[in-house]
Amino acid sequence: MEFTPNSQAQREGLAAGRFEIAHAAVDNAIAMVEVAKADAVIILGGDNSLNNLYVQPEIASIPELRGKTVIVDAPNTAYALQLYKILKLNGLQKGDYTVKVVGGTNLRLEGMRKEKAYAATMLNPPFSVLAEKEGLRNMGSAVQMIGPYQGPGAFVIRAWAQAHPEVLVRYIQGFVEGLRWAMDPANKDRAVALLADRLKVAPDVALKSYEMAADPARGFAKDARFDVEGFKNTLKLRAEIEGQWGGTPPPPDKYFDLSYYDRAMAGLN
Amino acid sequence: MRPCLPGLMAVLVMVMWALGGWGLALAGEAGMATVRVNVFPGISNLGLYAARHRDCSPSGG
Repeated sequence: MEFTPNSQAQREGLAAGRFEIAHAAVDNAIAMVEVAKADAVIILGGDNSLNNLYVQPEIASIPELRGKTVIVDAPNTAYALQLYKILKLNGLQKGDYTVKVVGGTNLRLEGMRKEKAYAATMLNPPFSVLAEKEGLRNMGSAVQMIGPYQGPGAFVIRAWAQAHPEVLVRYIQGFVEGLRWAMDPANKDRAVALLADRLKVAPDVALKSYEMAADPARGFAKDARFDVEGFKNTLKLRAEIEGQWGGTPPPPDKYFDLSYYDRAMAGLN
Repeated sequence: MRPCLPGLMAVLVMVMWALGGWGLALAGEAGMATVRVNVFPGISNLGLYAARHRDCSPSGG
């Protein structure tokens, strides 16, 4: 059994074959291709990250983060890039704040609770719901500030997918069927109870998290469909913030293969 | 739970938790396939959780 406390461990684990499928922000797949030179490929979408920027209660505006410490999972992927972009839009350049690597979303919420010097981080449900209940200040939605974004999705090593296409298609079908069940209003109560049980949160936190996910405009993508326009912005963010590709993002196609998804959906409809 | 997904699958989900990370393994019925899946905790796993627990009603499969 393998455990992944952070995205770096997950990327390394997938590349090493310790597991076959990773679900995480798809920018990690780009990082695997471009930084680790692994042949990872995205095969499924999910949502726009559902992230909001949270700060300690005494911070009233984003520019007040100048000179403060912000916490991230990995310093050069995914939601860290969202955070840097939001700070940049508010006049803060790298160097105007300190970046501290803490780990996944749950660990970042824990960090914000225990260390008041940790001034800001990106959080999504249920951790964002908990953060708000506990008094952290919500400074707004990531996608409202930076535009469309392909957040979580599933990615695999391309050679594994090519060797196991039927398994991957069935896996996607299982995922989509599960999602359809959970998003069916007739199953809402059971889905909320499931979330409360799995995420170990109170029913009201699970309910609010569910309702954010079920929001037709800002929640889960229908059938976990990959958002190509959002993904273009994900690439653009990496190009701008990390300087990847000399600052100009490449065509997005090389990073995803939706043929397995298309086959899965054809089998479901 | 009866098989309710096309071609397969009741799903066995083994959930591992440590150090803030989740690992999941999904296995097809009757040893047809085993896929190890690695995720972070959070709302985005709802589809995975539901794949294991959903009600396999006649209209749901």
